[in-house]
Amino acid sequence: MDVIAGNAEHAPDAAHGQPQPEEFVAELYRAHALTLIRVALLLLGDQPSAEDVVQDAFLGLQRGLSRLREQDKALPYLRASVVNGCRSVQRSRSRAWHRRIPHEPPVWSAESAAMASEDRRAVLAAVAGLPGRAREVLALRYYLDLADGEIAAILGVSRSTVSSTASRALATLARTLREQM
Amino acid sequence: MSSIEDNLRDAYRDAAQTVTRHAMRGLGEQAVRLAPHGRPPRRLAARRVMLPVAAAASIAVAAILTLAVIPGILAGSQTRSHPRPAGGPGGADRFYVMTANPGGTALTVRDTATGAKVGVVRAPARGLFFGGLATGDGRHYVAALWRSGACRTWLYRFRLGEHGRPGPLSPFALASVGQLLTPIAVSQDNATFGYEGQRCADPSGRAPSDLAVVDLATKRTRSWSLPKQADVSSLSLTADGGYLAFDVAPTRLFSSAAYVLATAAPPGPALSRARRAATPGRGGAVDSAVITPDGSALYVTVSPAGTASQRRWQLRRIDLATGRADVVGRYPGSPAEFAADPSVSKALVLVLRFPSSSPTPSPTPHRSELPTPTPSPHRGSALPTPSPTAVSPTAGPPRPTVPRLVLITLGTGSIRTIRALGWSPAQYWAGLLAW
Repeated sequence: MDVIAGNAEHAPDAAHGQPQPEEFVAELYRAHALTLIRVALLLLGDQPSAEDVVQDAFLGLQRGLSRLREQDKALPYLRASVVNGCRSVQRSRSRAWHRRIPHEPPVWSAESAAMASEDRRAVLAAVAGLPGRAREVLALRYYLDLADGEIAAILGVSRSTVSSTASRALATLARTLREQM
Repeated sequence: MSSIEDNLRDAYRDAAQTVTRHAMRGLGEQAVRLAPHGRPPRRLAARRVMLPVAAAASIAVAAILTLAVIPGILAGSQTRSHPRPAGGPGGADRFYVMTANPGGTALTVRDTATGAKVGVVRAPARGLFFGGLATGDGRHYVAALWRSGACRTWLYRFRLGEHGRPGPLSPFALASVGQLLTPIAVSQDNATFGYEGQRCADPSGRAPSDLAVVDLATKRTRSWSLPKQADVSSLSLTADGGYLAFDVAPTRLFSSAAYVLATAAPPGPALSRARRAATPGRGGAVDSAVITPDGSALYVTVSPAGTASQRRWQLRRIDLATGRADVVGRYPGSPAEFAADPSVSKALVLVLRFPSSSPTPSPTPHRSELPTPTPSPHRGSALPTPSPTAVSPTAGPPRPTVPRLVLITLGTGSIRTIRALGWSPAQYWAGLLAW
């Protein structure tokens, strides 16, 4: 532990000229973090994990900012990072499940009680039963309202794959919910 | 198909709205999370340490956090029903609240009676942002400042003058520490400084931390190690700095509890050297703990297990001589920040998820005594170790909720809402409460 008494090192280096990469990332965070956390929440179910994923995405952006040629690519990069981060969390949860390590109950579970509407909890519980890519497509399409082309770019698949995945997912969802009624 | 699409949009919207801006942590902010049963942005589980990467709204919550985190830095002088040991800037029944701006680069002092801004404390250099705040006497404040990407905390002090007007920042006796400090504490005599310091060597952010106290006259530091999974969110010192009280949030490896550590204890594992003075009961969480200046009692806020709609958090008083625990009051919502005045007679509490239809909360009408723990003579201290207690939460129907700043008289449990500030979730984002 390094403890410094007195004034040595007290005035940190504060020489700044141009806007710093940190400021650019901080501005992006202020503008988009909430929405990205919400998307991650829809994919993972719990806010702490969602926040971790989004934090990691922004930290990754900051580390790789020098390689980002156009600033307007930052948001698509973040979206893709969040989706990938959510996949990693799901994989680690799968491993944790085998070791019986619990994680937060999903926000739509009765155990969580974060959502009041039982109908909407049921919809999201049904979504949770879909394959991972289907859940990603639905969240990006119906929460972020992204076009299929944008979703395709984020997921690294073709537009037609997005379209067919969404169709199959909606059909499965409708069937599942009908069976529950 | 359109029906299922509409249902999906509605469900997504509802789920997404469970995350609010004021409850999310700032960029690079430590993941000080609240208990698993729904406390706000402080300590749901293990705290993950990350280097602060930008001056985003990242005032540490925890005992900051907690500030931390949780929405805003709050500080104020106290009300006057009890004598203030060192005197303070507030008049009778008048106190001030300090809030952090979203970037954490400035603290604004506001009069809680009128909501008026009475002063601003700005970070001393560009790139620095406030990460924690502490006071021992209600007049002199120590501020911990962080810088993006730096594993170091810079410490400054300032004084609140008459009418809550802050004086200029000047370097603290301890200029900086090569750790991220949160939370911090100062003894009432301003002679002892305490902190939890997150080590930063591990880029994954999972390094352990230290509890430490510094004799400000000699600069002698005594520290105790905390395992990396331990999440300490509140820290307080007795008036003479002889005892340090802290809480540990529940994790997969630790049950939640409040501890009292003799600052003369030899270095070593903090949780072994300290006395476990309060436990929340099965599945619950101690949210914060504050020790009285004379070391006779410990006040803790406790969130029992249960769903959000059923849960009422409790204020408990632990007699440290006998181990007897009393429930002073039970209240709705989730206590995000808890800051007692220097004499530990009143406390400011930021309550999240407060039922909007309950404008004036009432504590339980009588004190209920919790089972008296058996004093434990071992582990090197005269403080007893209570056994876990289980207290049933009071059930209630789900209602719309809002964040509220409330003032609780610790002796009686009486509570009143502070309304003049015009609550702004953005303003109070990364909450730190302090007097």
